[in-house]
Amino acid sequence: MIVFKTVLKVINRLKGMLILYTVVLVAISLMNQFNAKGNVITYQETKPDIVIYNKDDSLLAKEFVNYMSKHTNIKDIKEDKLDDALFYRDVSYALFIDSNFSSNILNGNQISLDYKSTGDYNSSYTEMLVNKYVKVASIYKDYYSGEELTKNIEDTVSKEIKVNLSTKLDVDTLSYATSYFNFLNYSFLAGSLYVISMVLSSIKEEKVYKRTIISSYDYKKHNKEVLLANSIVLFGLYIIYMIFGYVLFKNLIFTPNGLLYVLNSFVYVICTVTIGFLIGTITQNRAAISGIINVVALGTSFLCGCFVPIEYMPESVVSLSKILPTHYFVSTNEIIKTLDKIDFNSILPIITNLLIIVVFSLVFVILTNIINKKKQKIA
Amino acid sequence: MKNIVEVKNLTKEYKNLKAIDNLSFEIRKGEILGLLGPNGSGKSTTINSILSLLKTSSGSIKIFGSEMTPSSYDIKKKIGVVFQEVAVFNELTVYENIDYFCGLYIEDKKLRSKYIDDAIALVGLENFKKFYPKQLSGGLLRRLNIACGIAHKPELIFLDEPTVAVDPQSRNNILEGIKKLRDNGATICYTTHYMEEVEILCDRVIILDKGKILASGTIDELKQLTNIEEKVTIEVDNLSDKIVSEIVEFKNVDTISYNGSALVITYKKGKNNLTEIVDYLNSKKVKYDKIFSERPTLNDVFLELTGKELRD
Repeated sequence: MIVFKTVLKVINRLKGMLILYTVVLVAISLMNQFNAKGNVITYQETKPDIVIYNKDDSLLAKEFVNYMSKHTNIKDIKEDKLDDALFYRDVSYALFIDSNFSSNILNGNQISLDYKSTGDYNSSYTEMLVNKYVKVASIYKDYYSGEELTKNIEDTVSKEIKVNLSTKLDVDTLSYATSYFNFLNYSFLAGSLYVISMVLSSIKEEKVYKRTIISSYDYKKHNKEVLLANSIVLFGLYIIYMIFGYVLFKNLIFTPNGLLYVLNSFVYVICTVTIGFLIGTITQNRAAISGIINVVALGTSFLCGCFVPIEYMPESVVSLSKILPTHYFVSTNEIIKTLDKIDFNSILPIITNLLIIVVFSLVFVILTNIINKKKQKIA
Repeated sequence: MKNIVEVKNLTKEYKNLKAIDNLSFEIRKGEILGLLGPNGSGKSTTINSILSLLKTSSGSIKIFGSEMTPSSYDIKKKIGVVFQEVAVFNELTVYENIDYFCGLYIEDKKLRSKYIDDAIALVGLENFKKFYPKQLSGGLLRRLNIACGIAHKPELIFLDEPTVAVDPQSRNNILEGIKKLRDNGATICYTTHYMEEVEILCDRVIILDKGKILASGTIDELKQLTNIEEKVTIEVDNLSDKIVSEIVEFKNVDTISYNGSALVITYKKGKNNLTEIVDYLNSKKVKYDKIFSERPTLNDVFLELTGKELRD
């Protein structure tokens, strides 16, 4: 296993860049989370601030004001200060109940209520409350009277429809996780390309290669050990990234969605290993390798929506990205983000994407073999 | 003497070039065979062909009595190669590099450790075990290159111009090391275009040019191929053409050349007439500095065989 051990030693000398890629991944993921936490506005019920000028002493008018007070904050502002209060948004709505309010409803007359509003959504909401109460009162006055009338109006307008959200998705966590796994593409692709192509540039460097093939070491065994050592290191890197994923998203990783992220990453890791071997076979020139790593890792990450969400990209760029395996990796992560129910139909697009990544991997393996054979023929 | 390598009618053709042309020779057990020739003469191609690194166009190669193929691992186990270019890992230390290349042949860790120490001692890198190649000078790198090629104690060693661009101290160290390897029982094929090295090291020499063997034999045998018996050089200024033309007429003189500061006279086989020339110069009151006499070199042999210098 001398080749295996030597490849590990060579990788050990290259670990600086791997650590750098990992630090970038973790740092950006943490920054995403912290930034997102600062920006997240959780829903909080608020009542609009209004003012009511009531000149009607009737029971109906009092109950109306009582109803409004349950759904709004009624402020005490003098009428001559009202315009200023509206201008400075101290209140959104001012309702004027005249002395005929109750008699007009009970007698079936045209009901007109004066109001002033800021025109914002708080004033619209208040207007909706007013309309609702007045409409119900106009109908019920034919059937009820006195306290019975106000009680029935109150019962009706207070009715609420309960809405249950069937989804149990933790949307925030899934969004962060998707960002993490999408960005993981860059770290992993750059890391794999760097490790494999640098190792191959050392071990397949023309003179070292010559010295190796004239030795009594079976060259097939030699190649297997190179593959094994690279695969083990990159699998180790994958495990580390998954552990980071677990640390960042403890409650997600062992859910079906989390496990699908892990599976998608694993299939993609295999693909990056095959890309690494392809590039390492094409060239052993270290300067060229650095350039290729930047172009491939950064280029595909940008094109495929790892850094910028794909929905912001032009259609032509999205179409172009479909020729790259990263597109299917990112696309799968996006599907997992909104995946609520796990059944065959819902995971079919994921299976399709994973199979496409596997096909890409096979194509890269075939290309690597063809280039290897061509190079051997030239020698 | 048993033949370790037998090459018969070996030819290697590229599209429009015959790199080696119908070579036949053998390397005998325990000898240092020198492949001598100018750059591009086919020395490296011959070695690469023997080692199955190149597909030959025709001919046969037998090493240790068996046909050599790319998968002849039993034969390869007994061979060590030191290429012209340094072939080591920049990411590994001196010790780790030798360990790797020795490990391609020797699995036993203990035995390997001993062999590595022996190789390091042979090339004198004891103080550089933990150095990385980038920290070594050119000469030390060459020594590391040799250690990587011979650490597994091969019976047959190919050394392809191992002293190119090496400082004199490292060159002496390398040449001493090669002699030690031979003394320890290794058979060595040594390619170079430095004739002095061949004269110091080699038991037999094959002179190659344009892929063909021009001559082969021991150094004395090769020198006998030339008509020159002796070469006399006289350091003298302002020699007239008349005097030069008169010296040409002296007995046994073969050629004469004068470049304004040194008169070089070569003699055909037989006695020289140095005293006669000295007397003649004294009589003409010609003042001269040094006079020295040389036996013909391999370069003279090469010059006689090809009409050009070895380093042309």
